[in-house]
Amino acid sequence: MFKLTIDKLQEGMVLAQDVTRGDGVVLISAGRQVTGEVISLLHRLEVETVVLEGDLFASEEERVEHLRRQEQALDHRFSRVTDDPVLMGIRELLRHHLREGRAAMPAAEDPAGAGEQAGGESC
Amino acid sequence: MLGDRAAAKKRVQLIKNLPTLPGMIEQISKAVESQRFSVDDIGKLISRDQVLSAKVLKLANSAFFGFSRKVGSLTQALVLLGFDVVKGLILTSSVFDLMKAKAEGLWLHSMGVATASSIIAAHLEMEDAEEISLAGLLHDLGKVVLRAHMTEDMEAIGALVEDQGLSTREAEQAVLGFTHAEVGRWLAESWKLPEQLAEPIQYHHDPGRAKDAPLVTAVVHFADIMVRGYGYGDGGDPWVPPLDRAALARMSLGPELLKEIIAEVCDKLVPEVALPDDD
Repeated sequence: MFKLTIDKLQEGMVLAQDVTRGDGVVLISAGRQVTGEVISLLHRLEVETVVLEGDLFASEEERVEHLRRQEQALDHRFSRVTDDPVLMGIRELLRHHLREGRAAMPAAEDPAGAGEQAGGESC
Repeated sequence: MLGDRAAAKKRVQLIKNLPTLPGMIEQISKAVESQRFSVDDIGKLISRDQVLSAKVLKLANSAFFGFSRKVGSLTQALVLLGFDVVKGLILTSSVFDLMKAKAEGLWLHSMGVATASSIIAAHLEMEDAEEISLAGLLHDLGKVVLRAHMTEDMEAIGALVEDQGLSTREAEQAVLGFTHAEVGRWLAESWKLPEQLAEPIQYHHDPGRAKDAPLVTAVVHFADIMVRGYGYGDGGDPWVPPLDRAALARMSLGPELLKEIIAEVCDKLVPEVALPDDD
């Protein structure tokens, strides 16, 4: 899962979360494939970003390497509280989401990715 | 370590530089206190500053408030959020303006804590959910002010974090003789923020000391830990701080609830991918 600004959308991508109006009404449902029509609709609705399925890695190796780095960063963030079982439980829940691709965490040890946006999923 | 006098001198220097509210807010605060003006009058007063009202409306429509309809005007924001929250939003935009692009990481961290606070508040069915989100948004106010006004000291603090592995708070204490939590308190006092906001700002690392707003403080304390653990934005150092057991007990979050909250935080805080423009 990753978030993208509308101007970077490409046809064929798949929405991972509903696009909702300010009042909560669903305008476009999760699962919808991005087409030219969807893109112009999003522009008209003045939606700024959408959450998409999958990732942007060029290869499986790249994805695996990225996940490895993210898990390393996760362990580092929790490295001073390893004596707290509750926090360790939270760490493992986060790891689970990370592996499921539910949490696209920025890599903490990647200064290049810590620029303007929080995204670490860029390729 | 600093002597008391050196710390006191730095403190005076900083307090002199604390950002003041736009003059108009002062007038409006008085108008609200005097109760002679309607919400409509006050909304119109704020609306005269178009840049400010646009920023306040944008924040009022942020996902973490989760309103079921769009907040279209300042009058509406005042009705839905109350004056204290609108005032807090004006403060937020005034203070974060100090930092502009440099504070992007801290801004993301603050938005993340606001979002996580509102998710916890919803699961605990707490009232005043908007104030709780705002408390999350403002919890690191002191850091913003320090970065803006104590540039040299901030470099020394950054170096201590980087080279010696101190937490930001420890490094602040070593360099300044006080921490961002205290700076936040001074700011909250100078802006006359209610204790519901002031205590989470002052005690989000030490929630046991909150007297007037212990539950909100506990929520922000825990939201800060979750967002740091998740790694969203930049709180100054990478480490998850210790969890206060009494704060956790106060929220009575069982394992199932905790699981749901974390799943929701992961869903709401998906980081944005910055692709180059010419892809």
